[in-house]
Amino acid sequence: VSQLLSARSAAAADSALAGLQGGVGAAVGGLRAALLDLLVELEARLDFDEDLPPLDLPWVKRKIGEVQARVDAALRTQRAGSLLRRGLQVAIVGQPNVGKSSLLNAWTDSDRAIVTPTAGTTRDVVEAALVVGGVPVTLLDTAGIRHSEDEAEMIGVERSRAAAAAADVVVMVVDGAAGWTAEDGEIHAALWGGEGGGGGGCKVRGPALLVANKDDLRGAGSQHCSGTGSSSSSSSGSSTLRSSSRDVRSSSSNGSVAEEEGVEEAEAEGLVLPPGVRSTFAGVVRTSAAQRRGLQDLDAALLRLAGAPQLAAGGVAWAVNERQAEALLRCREALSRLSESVAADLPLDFWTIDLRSAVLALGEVSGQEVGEEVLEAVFSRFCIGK
Amino acid sequence: MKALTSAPMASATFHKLLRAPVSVPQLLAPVAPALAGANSWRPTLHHPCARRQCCTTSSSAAATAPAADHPTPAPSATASTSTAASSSTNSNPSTPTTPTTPTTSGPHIFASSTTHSGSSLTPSRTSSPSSWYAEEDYDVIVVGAGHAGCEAALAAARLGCRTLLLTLNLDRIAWQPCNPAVGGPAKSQLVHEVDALGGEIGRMADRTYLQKRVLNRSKGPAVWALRAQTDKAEYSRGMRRVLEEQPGLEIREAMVVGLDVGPNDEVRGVRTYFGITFRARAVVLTTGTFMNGTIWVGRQSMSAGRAGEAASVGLTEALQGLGFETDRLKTGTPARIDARSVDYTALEPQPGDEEERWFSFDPAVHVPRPQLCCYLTRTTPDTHRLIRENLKETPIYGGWVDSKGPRYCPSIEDKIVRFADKESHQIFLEPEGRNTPEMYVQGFSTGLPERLQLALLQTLPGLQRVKMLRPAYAVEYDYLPAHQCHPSLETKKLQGLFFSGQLNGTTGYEEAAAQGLVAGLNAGLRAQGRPPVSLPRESSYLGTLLDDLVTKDLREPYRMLTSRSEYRLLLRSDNADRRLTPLGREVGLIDDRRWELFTAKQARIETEKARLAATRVKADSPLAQAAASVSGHAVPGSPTLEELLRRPHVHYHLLQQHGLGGGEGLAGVEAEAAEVDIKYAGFITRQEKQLASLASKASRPLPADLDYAGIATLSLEAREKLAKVRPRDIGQASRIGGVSPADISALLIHLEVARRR
Repeated sequence: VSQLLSARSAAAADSALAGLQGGVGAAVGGLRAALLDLLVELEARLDFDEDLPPLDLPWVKRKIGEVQARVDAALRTQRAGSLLRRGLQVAIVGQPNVGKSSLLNAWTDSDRAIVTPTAGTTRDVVEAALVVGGVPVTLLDTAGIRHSEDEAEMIGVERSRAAAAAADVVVMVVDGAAGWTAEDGEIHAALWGGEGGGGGGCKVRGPALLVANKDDLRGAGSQHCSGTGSSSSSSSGSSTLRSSSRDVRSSSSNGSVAEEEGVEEAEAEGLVLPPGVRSTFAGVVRTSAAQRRGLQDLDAALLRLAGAPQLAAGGVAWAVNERQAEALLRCREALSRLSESVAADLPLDFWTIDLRSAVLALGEVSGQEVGEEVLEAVFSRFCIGK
Repeated sequence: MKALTSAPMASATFHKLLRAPVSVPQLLAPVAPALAGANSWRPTLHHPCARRQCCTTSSSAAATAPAADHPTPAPSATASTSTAASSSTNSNPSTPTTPTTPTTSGPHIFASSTTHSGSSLTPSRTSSPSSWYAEEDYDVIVVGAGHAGCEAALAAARLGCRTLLLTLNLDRIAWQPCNPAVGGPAKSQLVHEVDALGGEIGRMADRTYLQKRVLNRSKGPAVWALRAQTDKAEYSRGMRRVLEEQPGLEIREAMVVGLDVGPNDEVRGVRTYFGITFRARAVVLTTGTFMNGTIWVGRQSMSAGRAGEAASVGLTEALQGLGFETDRLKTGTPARIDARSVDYTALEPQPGDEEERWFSFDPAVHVPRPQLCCYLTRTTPDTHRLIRENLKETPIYGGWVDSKGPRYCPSIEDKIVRFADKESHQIFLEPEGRNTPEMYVQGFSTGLPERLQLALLQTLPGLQRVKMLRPAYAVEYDYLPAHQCHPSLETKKLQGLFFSGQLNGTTGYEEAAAQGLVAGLNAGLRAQGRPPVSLPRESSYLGTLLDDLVTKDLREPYRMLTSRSEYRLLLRSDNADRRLTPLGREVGLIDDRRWELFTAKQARIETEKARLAATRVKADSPLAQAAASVSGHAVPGSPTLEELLRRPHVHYHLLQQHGLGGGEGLAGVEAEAAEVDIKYAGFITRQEKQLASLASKASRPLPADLDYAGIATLSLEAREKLAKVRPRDIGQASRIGGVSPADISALLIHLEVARRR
């Protein structure tokens, strides 16, 4: 429930609800039930061997393998789940006056950042929240990075670097009409550790996207090319920001297709990047903040970077949280020790040791006690006694 | 003084007895021959004296001749005499009284001593003004001479306490009213543990066995389980002999109906039905199924502790009057048949193991005896049909009894209804003794009326012409939910009062014996003013049993099962002595002879382990080759014997086959103990670590006066349960049903907050 209360987006709330109503609870519960089932078979043989038919060993071994696979699958949802709860911090960096603040306003469909034609308007980090594909995102608009004599501006620049270093994803904005400039090269070096970097310890660790903004100021041909993708995005793009996660999933899965095209276009149309720079960016997206185009491509690219496309595409209805993941990890460890015992041909009662810890590990999700459960099941399943 | 006078109790008792069902005579008919002396023991208004007369005769005769219905020839009686004699060597030799001489009057001084506690004096007392009868003073009084009572009395006496054992019937000491067997999974561990603490049940089972088998032999050493069929009559006689020869212990017939309680809620003695007050500093109640016992056959019921023996009436009410909570439980036992009317050609014999194993760590009782067979038969379609046609005649399905029996002991009708797709159920026939034709029909408990029981038995192959000697019956009785006890089994309400055995809601001789030993030990310690001993859950099955009893809610009689133990790999039968005998020695239950045996054995095991770790063989030696082929992996370098033993399927006897076994003095079980330690060292260390980390968390004590109701962060259920059980530490609290991990966190936070204030 606490997860539900602290859910930051509709998809996160959905996941928390699923955890309560069946999703994670049912999935982990199902795993636990399968393990308990095995444990019961084994334990019953220890106390009531004479009363029972021989154990079906191949069945037991097969079951162990199946549960292991399911535990692994559940663990893979953890990353998506942690995204849903904590959200993404996205820092927007770039030279002054390439339209970072405009992008932020367009992306969040707001006037959060002050936009003027004057370069260097943004002096401090401006935060704005939005939801992309169900994932809560915090955008950090930063001061344009350049050498300046203005003390206040230089502090802003330092903060930009710090924000970039701490962010989950860095979006570097360049002037799409002007192309990659020497100044862009300097910023790149400063943030990603190129040869001319003077940024001290502020190196970006997270993945990065390159946004070629001011796409509208380029030639008419390119505008036409990205037209199919952006005509839908300009209508649904703003609704993305506020819509339910269900809508998001469908629209952004379209978006991811369009985005791939977008990247190819950028390459094809020769946004010329110096060697060594292209590899820094996981994708290049053309946008027009002024016309609010290309934003959906940006959404999709961001989700791909965060590793959450399966989430956005509705592949998993739930995700385990860290506590559950830890339990699953301990369960997986126990199961791998169990497999060792099976492989070493140890007696059956040794199998129960790790099987029991596996059940116990998962039991912490629902907080139950194992011993009595085992007995309950033994007595209801088997005909036992004098 | 809060003394409970026996007079109103007695009249209540008579009222109850007079309300016994009118139909009793018919019902008693089939079992009446077995009753002999016990029958007249039933107190009636008409023959109050006849009973005393009768019992006196039968008890004086009992030392040489067993109960009247079991004519036993001389040979086994002599066997029992000789083995019983050896038991006296186990006791502390310094108690200067003749236990069989009744002390009849007045204040007296009784000096008793052990090697540990020195002498303790029983304070002399003047006659109680309320007592018109001669007064008796003891350190410890044990009420009931079943498997709990015997262990309790022996433990107290062996500590050097002047001990009195009171029983309803001296001819039914350590009786086995259900199946004539000791041990089995988990129960065998209890027996080994009781033995390791100087108890008697293992030695008795070793002396009187009819057959022995090791169950779970194909599994790991932690779950090997020795089970013995025992000679019921011989067991009872043998135990009586042990009691009689124990210095400092007196046995006497009496029905205890009340307790004498002092001004500070301390127990001061017991009052009997016939008006005697026996004084003691500690009292152990082990009344089994006798308190307000009622037995049922079909729709007929009668007041009885078990078939043929009167119930104990009045004590429940006395305990309730003292504020104890009581409840009712139910269990049952199948029919007994005449072995001479069984057609064995139709049965599958179940012989014992050729290689015999022993419950006791004391080699003095390791005397092999000829073994008898058990037999296997099965239910037939006729059995199932007969039961289905008569379901309405059974208590549960007929609807006149709603309480179900224990789940591990279902009636045959229950098995057939609940597992309808199972075509046949196996039924074991177990001999009850070498000199009795009685056989126990295991797996055939039933609530059907007697007239149907014989017909039902006769549907089984081999039993077509069987004669039934005793019908199956169920028994309902009062028990005292054991959350009213500390893990020492002393009650929380009254200092010096201990409960143990079936009275605490358990079932099984082994469970009873285990509790009896703990209660008797602690009663003795209480009488001597020494601190109590409690066995932690992780130390033993015994500790697990005690912890479960004082912590959990019972829905059925509690039976020990291996699945109840979290750390069974550490709690093996082979190391029960290593785990517990030092404690037994420390408190004074283990005499010098047993202690020397123990230390010598441990030294041999350690020497052998050192030898195995130090002895190397070449990779091309026959042993290394053999080990490689058995384990399926090549042997690299020149391995030590220890390394070879760690491999799968390599066992100690492989070493012996290649002439690399231990020396002459090393016994088989000792080599086995060394092998287990080595082979499973990885697992053992891991469990030990888990245990240590668990213990550090769980041992955080909870104040006895903690106001659970006032802790708002606890769930309502947890508040109720915690207030009822009053756990001693976080570990126990976490094992209470209805107390969730969230409640435990809340409790920890509460404690921490309280500490910081």
